[in-house]
Amino acid sequence: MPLVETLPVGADTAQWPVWGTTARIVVTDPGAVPAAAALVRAELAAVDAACSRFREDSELRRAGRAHGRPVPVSPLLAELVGAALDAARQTGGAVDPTVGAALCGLGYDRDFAAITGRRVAPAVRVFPAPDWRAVTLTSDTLVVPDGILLDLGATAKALTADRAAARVAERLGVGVLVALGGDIATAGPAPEGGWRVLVQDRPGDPSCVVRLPAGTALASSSTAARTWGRSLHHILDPRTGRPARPVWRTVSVAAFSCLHANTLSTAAVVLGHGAADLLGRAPARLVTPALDVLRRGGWPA
Amino acid sequence: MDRDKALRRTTAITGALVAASVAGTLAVGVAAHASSADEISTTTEAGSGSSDSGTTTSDWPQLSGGGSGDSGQATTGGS
Repeated sequence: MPLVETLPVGADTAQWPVWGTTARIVVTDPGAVPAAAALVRAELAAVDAACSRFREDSELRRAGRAHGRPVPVSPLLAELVGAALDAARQTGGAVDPTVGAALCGLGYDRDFAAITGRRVAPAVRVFPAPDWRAVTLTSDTLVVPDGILLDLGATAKALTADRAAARVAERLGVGVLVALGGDIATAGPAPEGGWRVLVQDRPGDPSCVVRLPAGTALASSSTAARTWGRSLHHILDPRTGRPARPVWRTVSVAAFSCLHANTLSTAAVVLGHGAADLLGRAPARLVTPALDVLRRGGWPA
Repeated sequence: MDRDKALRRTTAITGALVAASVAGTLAVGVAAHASSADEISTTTEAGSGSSDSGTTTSDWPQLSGGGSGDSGQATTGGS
């Protein structure tokens, strides 16, 4: 069970299951909860229709069936794909959206809620050289080469949190925190002292509470979450097509957008011992498989 | 006379440039030392661990720690 489900749901909070995890919103005005939840649900539905790799009717799947021909895409899908390609560029390909087929080959070929406990074939690499540079995006046209299946999961969830938080704050004029699994975005004014976030991966793992200033974000990536089969998890190393070696059990990063935070936390998991160079001075907390904790960039003790 | 004066002036300028260069090199060295010193302090959290004490800048948000008994409004686990 995701840890978030164990938190109390007060008058200022709403939460519901989505995308194999939990969506949770907290607002500064409890009276705004229903309207805020409706806005976030609408944002989630729009993103799902645009880029789910589990829906035959999603825009992304249609683009994948075009066999390399240019396909017109909506502004939303263009933004989502653009964010994924930017993340690949910023991380030297450590976060690569072309791992979709490799994920399917490992058994992650449907909503994660349907995978838990399912028997899967031994890990195989479906095709040898997924490479984000083969994907071409202009403002309204996408070209996905034949044989490449895009998976925007690493960045789409984080960008959705950013978009949803901004939309709630703008439409309702309240402060809001949007949490989608490990991805947290905030917008509008924060409660006095900041947004309080429990940083903990699994029950029993080391934990701390940090306070986020208004307009900041926090993302965690984990090799202990979304696991199935024999030691399989959902963060693939694009260089091998297999789950990243668990040098880090959990990496949490704070930034001014959830997309940026998630890009860094995911890349840190993939890069393993090379994470330090990538993270630079970003506030980050890294947990080893032995549950030792490394804090960087002013992450509070 | 003019030639000697010009020679002295050239020598003075060259000396100043050398001094500035040495000072710059030292400054870079001190900055590099300070930068690497940021990476070596250690603290722990819930078990053994280590941390740098790098200061945050406006490029990054400044987090603060929750008080004792502080509970979260949301959780960031891995997902």
